Amino acid sequence: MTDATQLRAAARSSLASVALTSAFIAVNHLYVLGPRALLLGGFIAGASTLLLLWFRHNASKIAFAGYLVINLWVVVGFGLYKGLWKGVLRLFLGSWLASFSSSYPKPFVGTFIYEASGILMFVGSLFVAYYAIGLIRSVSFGPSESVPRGAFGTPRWLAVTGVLAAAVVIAAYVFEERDRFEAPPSGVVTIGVIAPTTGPYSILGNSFVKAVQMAQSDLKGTKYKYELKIADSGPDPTKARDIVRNVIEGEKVEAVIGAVSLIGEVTKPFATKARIVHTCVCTVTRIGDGGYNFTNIPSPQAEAVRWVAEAQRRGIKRIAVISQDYPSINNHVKAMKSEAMRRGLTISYEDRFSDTVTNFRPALARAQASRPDVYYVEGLEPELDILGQQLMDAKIRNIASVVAPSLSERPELFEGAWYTDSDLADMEFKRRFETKYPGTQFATHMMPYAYDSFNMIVQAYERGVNPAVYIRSITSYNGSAGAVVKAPGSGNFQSKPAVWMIKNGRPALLSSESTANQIVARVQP
Amino acid sequence: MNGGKRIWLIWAVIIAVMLGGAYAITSRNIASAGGDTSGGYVH
Repeated sequence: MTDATQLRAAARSSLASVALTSAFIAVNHLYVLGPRALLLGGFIAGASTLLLLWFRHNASKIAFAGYLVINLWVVVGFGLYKGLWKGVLRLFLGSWLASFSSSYPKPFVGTFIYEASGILMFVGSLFVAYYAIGLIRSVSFGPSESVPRGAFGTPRWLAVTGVLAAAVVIAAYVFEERDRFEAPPSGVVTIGVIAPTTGPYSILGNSFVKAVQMAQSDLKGTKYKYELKIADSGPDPTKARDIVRNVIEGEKVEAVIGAVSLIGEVTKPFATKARIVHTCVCTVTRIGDGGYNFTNIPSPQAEAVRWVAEAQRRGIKRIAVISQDYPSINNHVKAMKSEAMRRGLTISYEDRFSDTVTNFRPALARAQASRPDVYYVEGLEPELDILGQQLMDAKIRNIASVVAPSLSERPELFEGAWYTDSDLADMEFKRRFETKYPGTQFATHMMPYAYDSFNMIVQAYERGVNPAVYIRSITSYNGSAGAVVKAPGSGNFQSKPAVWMIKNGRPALLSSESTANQIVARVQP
Repeated sequence: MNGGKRIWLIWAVIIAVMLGGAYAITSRNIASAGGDTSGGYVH
């Protein structure tokens, strides 16, 4: 084989490996960059081809150096860092470490195509490195016969080096990914509290923040001082992004307590990146990944099971549903209908109204005609109280709901209505809150969970455990919200809601599943 | 089997094992996330 032939063969192999790897890079980055990922892959393959052609045409050293720089970028940036460290090691070693020790976060797992392209990006980069070395050999020494022996190491030396490098990389990953306790600087733990205290969720958001403040003021004789960084996220997740970033990356808080799923979805990636615990009082369970993010509130399914059990206890067989078209309400209704039908109850009528409706009388007349045993109503303000007034005008008093009456600004409109809502094992908690914050509505649905979430983080610090590790390891917790449980590895605390009733114009707890008031946490050995 | 073919076969096995492992992990992850029917946005 002549020098030129050998050089062309080495260049072809090198370019083919770069082109193939750039295809894997493009697929892998589709999930992050969208269609721009095709430009990235096209740039790597196109620029590499042009530089090699330039080098072939006039043996330009600049062109060859440029080609090698792109190779280096592919190997180090995409292959070793993204493909190996953030891909192969995360997926296999990270999952394995998390399965036996709560000191390691359960890693993010993408779709098969995403993970497969990450693996192939890593493997492809090894071929890119291999063929690049072959090309350098051909360019530097000409025919293979003239390559000095040992210039690039013997196969045995390469194998030993490879095994050692792999061991070092694995050890580095095991060390780096482990979450350790760090004593707070100056003995002060700063906890971010992110909730929408303005806009349509302000009742929930304000009472949520005050519940955390009450938990803070209840602390006595703690080893560390706990400070809150309260931020109003507003209701818009797009605008909330900068606020969340400022709290986590700017203020550098040690933990975050958040409210409302819409904002929890925004907070989740920031908390994961900062490797700080984020407890979200929200129903979207995918937010709770069990790594750094945890949800703590009854799920729509748990509400449905409790609601239908109470309906059956009351001898209800037919249900008329009048509910607002809103994601969380739709999920309550969907879960309730599913459970009701599973238990043999009948949905006699259903109406889903938008937030522009103010006249519910036609829907109420149709519902009455279906002869229901109970009217399931759920909505947000101001439609909720308009509906409540028209129910009262129509002398309909057999009303039931999930959560809604506790959020009403005029709960007397729902006098006698029963509904499921969060449990309140410690009724003294509600009394103390109302005394401390007389002007703030007590939103039962979220507040005990906000209070308990704060205390979970405090317990972790007081015990000298990284809060993310501590909450990962908890499988049960008895707090102001009663008993909550969490399966090992899960990011979702499960709790049983209670049945409430509007009595004398105020929410009154009818039945509770709680068995304990004392706040104790059981930690896995 | 010559050395070159053996190396390619080893690589094919390594890649197949890794892709198979990725398939198993991603499938298990989808199955465990299957219970999330909440999709609510407010609370």
